Order: sequence, then C-alpha cells, then structure tokens
Amino acid sequence: MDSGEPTLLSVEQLTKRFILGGGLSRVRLVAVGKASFRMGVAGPEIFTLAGESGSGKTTLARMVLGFIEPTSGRILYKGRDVTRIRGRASRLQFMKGVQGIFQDPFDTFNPLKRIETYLRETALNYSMAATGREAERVVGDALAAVGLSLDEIKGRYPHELSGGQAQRASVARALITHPSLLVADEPVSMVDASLRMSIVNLFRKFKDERGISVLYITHDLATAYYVSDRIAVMLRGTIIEIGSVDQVLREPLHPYTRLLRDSVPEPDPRSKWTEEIALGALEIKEYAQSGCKFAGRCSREIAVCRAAEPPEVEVGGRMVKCHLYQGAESAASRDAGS
Amino acid sequence: MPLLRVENLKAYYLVDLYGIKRAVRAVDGVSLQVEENTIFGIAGESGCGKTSLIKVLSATFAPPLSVQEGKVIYDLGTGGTDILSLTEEGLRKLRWEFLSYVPQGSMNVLNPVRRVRNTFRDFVGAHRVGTTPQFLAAVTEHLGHLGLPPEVLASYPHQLSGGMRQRVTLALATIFKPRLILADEPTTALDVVVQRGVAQLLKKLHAEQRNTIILVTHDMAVHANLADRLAIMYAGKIVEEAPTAEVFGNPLHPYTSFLIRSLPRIGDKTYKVSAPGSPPSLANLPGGCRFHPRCPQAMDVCRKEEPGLLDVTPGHHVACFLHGQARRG
Repeated sequence: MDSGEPTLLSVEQLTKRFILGGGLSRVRLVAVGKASFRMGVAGPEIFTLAGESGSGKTTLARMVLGFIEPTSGRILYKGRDVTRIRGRASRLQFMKGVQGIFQDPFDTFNPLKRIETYLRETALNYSMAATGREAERVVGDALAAVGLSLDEIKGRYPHELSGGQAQRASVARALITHPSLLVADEPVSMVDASLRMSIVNLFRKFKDERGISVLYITHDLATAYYVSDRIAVMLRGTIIEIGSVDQVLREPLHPYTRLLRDSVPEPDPRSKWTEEIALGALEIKEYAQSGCKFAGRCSREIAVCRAAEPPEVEVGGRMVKCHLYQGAESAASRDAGS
Repeated sequence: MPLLRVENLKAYYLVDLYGIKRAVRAVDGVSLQVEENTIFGIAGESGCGKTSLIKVLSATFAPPLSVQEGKVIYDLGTGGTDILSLTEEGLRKLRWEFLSYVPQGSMNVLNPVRRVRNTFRDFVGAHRVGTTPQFLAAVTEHLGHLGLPPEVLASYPHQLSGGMRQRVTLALATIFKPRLILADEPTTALDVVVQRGVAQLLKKLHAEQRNTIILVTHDMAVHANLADRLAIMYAGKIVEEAPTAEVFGNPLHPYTSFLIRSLPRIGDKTYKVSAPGSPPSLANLPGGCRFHPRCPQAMDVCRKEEPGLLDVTPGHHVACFLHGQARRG
C-alpha cells in the first residue's frame, strides 16, 4: 500500500450499524457488515455493487462519498482515510476527486435555480474557474462530454428538462471537478428504457477517454454486465461474491448470485422461465440471522450454514463467501460448469 | 368475437389553465383486439399513454381525462357491450367478477390501519354474501393456492414486504376468477427475485383460471416472458402490434427496433445505442409521424402525414411509412 501509486479506492472491513427504534423496541441493524473491496488497482475500472433493495449498497455508497460515518472499518481514497479528513482544504480536495450521481436527477438540482446557474456556481465553488466567463467554459466542456449543449440548458429550470436530459445534466455536474472516481447510485433506474443505454455508455466513455473509475451501484444485472469490469454482489449487508463480471454473472458460484442471475428475465421470448422458484421469508429475519444470511432460502444448505459465518474463499481469482467452497477449489470449479 | 375490441379510441386530458385550454393527447386513435385466454402486453416508455389507455379500458378514469371518441367493446356473452356507455351501476356489476383492474403501485392499496383479512372483507363483501367463516375459508384457500401463507390475513400491510403485498393484491383481484385482469406495472419497483415470483403468479393464474390478462409494463424482458401478443405504444399511439416472438425477432418500426436492440443482456458486451433525442410531450406533439424527429430513416412523407396502423403480414401491424403503407394513397 505504501509503495508506488496508492490504490484509488480501498474499502477495508467497513461496517455500519443503525439503531432502529428506541427504549424496549430497540433493534440493531447491520446495514453493511465487514465489506472489503478495492477499486482501480490496475488502472481505471468500472466496478459494480449489485444487490436487491435492503442489501446495504446505498449505505455503502454514502459512506464512500463521506455522507455518513462508518461504525468501524476504513475507506482509503488514494491511500488516505476518508473518515479522518479534517480541514476545509483537504475536504475540498477529496470532494473534487470523488463525485456522486444519484437516482433522481431532479433531486440533484435546486428546483428554484436555473440549471446553468447551478452548474456555474459548482465550478466557482470548487475553484475550477476564477471568473464567470471561465466558469461558462468549464460548464460547456462538461455538458459537451455528456452530449448536451449549453443552448439546450440555457435559461431552463430542472422541471423543464426531460428525465434523460436531467440525468445527463447531473452527470455533467459531477464532471465539473474532473473527478477520478464517480459513485453512481442507481443512475438509470428512473430513465426511460429507450434512453438508458445512452447514460450507461457515458460511463464507458469516461473510463476510456478520461481515465475515470466508476462505482456503479445497481440492482440491474444486465446493465451491470454491459458496463462493468468487476462486480461485487451484496446480500443483507454482506458482500458474498466479488470477481470479474464474466466470472460472476456467467458462472456464478454463490447460490444467491445464481438465484439473482436466474431471476433476471431474458429479453427473448425463446428463453422463458420454466422452473418455479421459492420466495423468501420476511427480510428483517434475514438481517438478524446468524451464520449465512441466505441459509433460509438456499437449496444447498448444509449443517454449518446457520451456525457459523461463511469464510471468504478464493476460487479462481474471485472471492466467494460460502461454506460450500471451503478448501475445495477443484470441487468449486467443477460446480461452476454445471 | 374477441373478448375486447377497441375502436379508434381517443382520450385526452383537458387542461384549462388561466383560460388557456390545452389537450394532452394521452390516447390518440388506438385500435386493438384482445382474444380470450391470451396475455396481451402493452409496452412503452413513461408518458406514452399506456396507463391512461388501461384506465379507459377499465372505465376507471375521471376528469381531466375524458374520452373524445371511440368505443371499448367487451364480449359479455350478449353480443358486445360498449363499456363507455354503461352506468355506474352497470360497471359495478362488471368489476371484480368480469374484469379486475390492478393499478400501478397497487401494493399500496391495502388499508394501513386494518388487517389484511378485513381489507379482503371490505372489498369482497360488496360483491358476494355468505357467512364470515365460509368467506374466510374461501379466501384462505385462494391465498394458499397462490403460495401465500395464511398468516398474511392476520397481518397489517406494513408487516409484509412489497413483493408480498403485491401478491396479496393480485390474490384480492382474482378471488372471483374474473375473465379479464388489467394489470398496470405489476412487477415494477420489486426486486428481481420477487419480480420473478409475481410473474410466476400471473402465469399460474392465467393457466388455471383461463382468463385474459392485459399486462402493461415498460419492461420488455417481462413481456418476453409472459405476453402472447405485444403492442408497442409511442406518444399516445400504437406503433406496432404482433405476436411477442415477432416483435422481438422481426421488429419493423424503427422505434421498436431501437427498443429491442438497446436491451442489455448478460453475456453480451456489444455496443448498444439508444434512440437519439427524447420522447415528445403529449401536450405538444410533432406533426406527421410522432417518431420522425428521432428517426434516422425519416422521409419527407413522415413529416407531413401520419402513418396508419396496417397489416404488414397477417397479424403483424405496423404504423410506419417504411412498411406496407403503399396501399394508402
């Protein structure tokens, strides 16, 4: 870690606990439990954090962005601990480097401000420009990068844009500071189907042309496969599988990843679902479950699953958190082929 | 006779703002036929009028949405009834027993301060009389059949997950085995695994009750899995309608082919492009073909005239001047 170029983002044993309710009905909820992963070790990459609602992926993203403080664990951005940043200057430095894009583009902008004004102020506040004219140029560049022109935005308020345009504008906002890491939380789930790929393609373009890494948070495995290099799958706060998208999505090892992958409907009438699936219990129960959180729904449950937390096993270049693969690398690869 | 025949239906939102009258043409000349015992899919982006269409089909619309023109004819066994001509009392007889409408976000229709059991009683009591134990037994059996545990009846809605609530509402909508279910985005806003469960439930209902389902969703992959026929809506009009396999295998309208070609799938990293531009506002539609400002193949005629929905091959209708419009002047 200390030698050479530090890793862009390194998340180590990150945990966030929320306390729900008060008094006697106090419940502790582990939203993120001991999550570890690294991004951008060998050049810029698009890294997906996938999971269902309630898997803790947004909580993790908010910690990376510095919006909420972790209960324990570290987040290192270029070798520096994000949670220990003190002082305005270094805070600004961090915020310049890591920018967020959110689900609802209309939430990004102040509804009472014209979009161009908002963008120009962003440029000035982050000292990306010294004068108004310079800010105009910076904003124009950012808009051009997302395929919008200043004329399309000029004089408009957020509600006057379509959903697709507004999301492009919010991507442009994130680009103003020339970040090295974009954290995109469900950026296309509110965008029309016919425009979705145009937003996703931007991330590919930024990686190739500007060397920007993207932490792409989504529930949509199909766009995740399309856009990203590596993927981490989360279940109830725990990362259960990390690897390249080809490995994880084409040959999933963890039974939950398999269920998730098989539940993605294929846009092809020739391959419809045939077998039926069993649906799970109430989710609160799964959070509180000791051992593996998936044990209640897993078709391959063994005795040890509910008793002990599964170990992180390295199988052919990927990490799987499952008892089935413990000390059985050859069995695992045989399994993946089935 | 088909179960449902829609003829040149026009339904507009009439808005009167400071004396300026505007019409938002949400449904603008839609004609379609739905055969008995099929799943008919309607796909389109947000704001294309698909929810307005289904509201008119179920006669659950209210001002400012109003029907300007056209007929919605159901086969009730008495030679075709225009649902738009029925009185409120006549509609009440049809609802739940002939047709059930499951609106968007219907997982939130359950009364939050009443147990699910009581909600069932409220809804169902208006239609069928019987003693409470008899009725509860019937409800429990129906739920069990759909894979829902009997405990849900004693729960409050907040104790159930979104997917569970969605399945409870579908169970509620189908308790009288209606001949037609109109489902608006039943799988949207659910997790993939739960979404698959709900889709599975719809399939099961269709197979067992042999009813017709009109399924509205923007999710093409769900249509691919469920629908027998598929209609694509764009800016208030149906631009293509064909058997689902045809729509996916041989999309003819440029909009449909953009939609199909841009679908990401696992195992495919080839570059996908979205249609250029963005959908028009229904209050301010372009002249001619409504897709022409975004269409890379637009011709002069597209800017001037509106293409009609015509048969290209039997059963495959397309509204595009590139296909089969020669017959029309």
